[in-house]
Amino acid sequence: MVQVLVGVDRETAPVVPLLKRLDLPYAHYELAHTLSAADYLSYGIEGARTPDEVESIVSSENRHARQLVESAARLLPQAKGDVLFGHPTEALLRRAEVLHAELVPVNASHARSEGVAALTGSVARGVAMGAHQSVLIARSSLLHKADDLPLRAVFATDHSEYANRCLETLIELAPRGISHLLVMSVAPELDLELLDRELPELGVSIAASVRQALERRSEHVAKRLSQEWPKVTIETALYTQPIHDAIDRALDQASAELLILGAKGHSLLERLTLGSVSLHQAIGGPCSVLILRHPD
Amino acid sequence: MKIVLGADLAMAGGNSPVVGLLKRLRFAQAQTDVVHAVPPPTYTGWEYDPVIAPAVLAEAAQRDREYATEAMEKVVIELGGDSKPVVTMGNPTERLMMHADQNHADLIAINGTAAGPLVAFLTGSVARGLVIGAHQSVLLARGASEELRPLRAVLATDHSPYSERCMARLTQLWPQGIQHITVLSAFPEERIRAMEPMLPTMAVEPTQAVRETLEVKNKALIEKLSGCFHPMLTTFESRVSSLDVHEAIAEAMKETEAELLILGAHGHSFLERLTLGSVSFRESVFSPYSVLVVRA
Repeated sequence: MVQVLVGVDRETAPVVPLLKRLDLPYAHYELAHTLSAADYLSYGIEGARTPDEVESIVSSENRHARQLVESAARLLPQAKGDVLFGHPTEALLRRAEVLHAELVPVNASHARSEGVAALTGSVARGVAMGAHQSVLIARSSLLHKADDLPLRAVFATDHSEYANRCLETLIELAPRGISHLLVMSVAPELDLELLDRELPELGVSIAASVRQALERRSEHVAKRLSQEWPKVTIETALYTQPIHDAIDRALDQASAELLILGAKGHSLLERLTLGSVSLHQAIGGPCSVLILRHPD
Repeated sequence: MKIVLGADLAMAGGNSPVVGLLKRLRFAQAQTDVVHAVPPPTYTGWEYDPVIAPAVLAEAAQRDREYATEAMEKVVIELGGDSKPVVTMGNPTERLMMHADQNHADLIAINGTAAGPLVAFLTGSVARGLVIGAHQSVLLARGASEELRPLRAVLATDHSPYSERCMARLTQLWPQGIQHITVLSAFPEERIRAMEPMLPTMAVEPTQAVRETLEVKNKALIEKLSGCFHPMLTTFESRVSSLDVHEAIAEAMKETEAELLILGAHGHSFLERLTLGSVSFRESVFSPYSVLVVRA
């Protein structure tokens, strides 16, 4: 059983359709809409309304929120709906802790640009950074409008220990809706060639060694995944571009709508927080992002 | 295959390292020329006597020749197989090389320097001269050779193209008497580690990648070699060391209890390609064990 806490705002799309397409077989869904005090308390500040009027506004807001979340819940099998009160990110994260949720899917920020989202704060960013669970950030797909099409995804890995544990998390989630998965990794080719020039007496090339080591590990991941998911077509790719360019390329190559990656990097700072690559993709990426966290 | 065995008079007494080693190596279809070069007369003063000198010198030379031929016959009998004695006059190093070139020999085998390395290096030794000057593979035998003891060897390779050719040559020489071959390659782990800060952080460390590449290449080489050697007679193991190359060789020789070191003649830096590689030179001149320097 995988407990999933879905954060819905005024719209259910794209997160609910994406979850339907992902088709998590063991998921137990709870949908939550947060009602922030800031949403309705300002009515009282004007002084023009009596407490009774404010009360009726609040209760109608509550009713509306409940309707919204219940209608969303009908879209997912056996889902419950609930209204939470407080700051959206905090309320959602607190609820996720209480529920022992393993996945928190939310809609991506509605702000048009990355800059605005970063400055004004978005629930998606807050959840991505603050959650102890895996997070799914849903973006409406430009590629496929149809809701029932199988998903094509990219799994980006650096083959660190954490990334390997995240792979296990992914296997536990067992999304049945994925039809094609590209396992990608990146080698900093130019920097490694520098090393080769420094060590001409070494009979083997360091750049080629790293490339082959990454390829071998990607093959291993692909093999592991195809054992678990025999119906999914799996390919591997190694890129030598900077990481974000490489991810863009991989998404293009696989015509993917979903990017799957581990939450943390492998430098000391990134181990403590959300990895910079994951953050960048969560906030500004072109497609939906599944940020995997391993509970440890 | 044609072997030129550089013999001195002491070998007639038996128990010579090179004869013992050649017998144990059991090169396939070997024809051996046991070559002894009678050094130019060292006695001085006679040549100034116009009457006696030519006759005395000729007589002395003849006596030397006869004595040498007799001694070589004994070596031939000890060596057995398809071998014949050859006695010439002149500088041993030059004569040996000339004979090997004229007879299209594949291998020159001699006793390694008996004197200490420093003395041998300063005063000049036939072994050193051959290792530097010969166009053929050179076998330097050192230490007592017990015929019943299984012959274990360390094969040092850097997997450079030249080294690969040397390995192909080794399979042509086909020493069937080797029971166990340790394929050894070494890489400067410390130096690569020192350069890691120049790289972006990677989960797969370059040192680890290089180690894996060398292991894969060692395995490939073992596969190639085991196609030529009899699987019942010769066993193989792979070894990758992060020590300095000479230390790595010494450690491998000690730990595997090997008696013979096999290595390619040339390095792969530009200068080393033109001459004898520094590693093979140092190992062949200074090492305490038998060395087979393979030239392709």
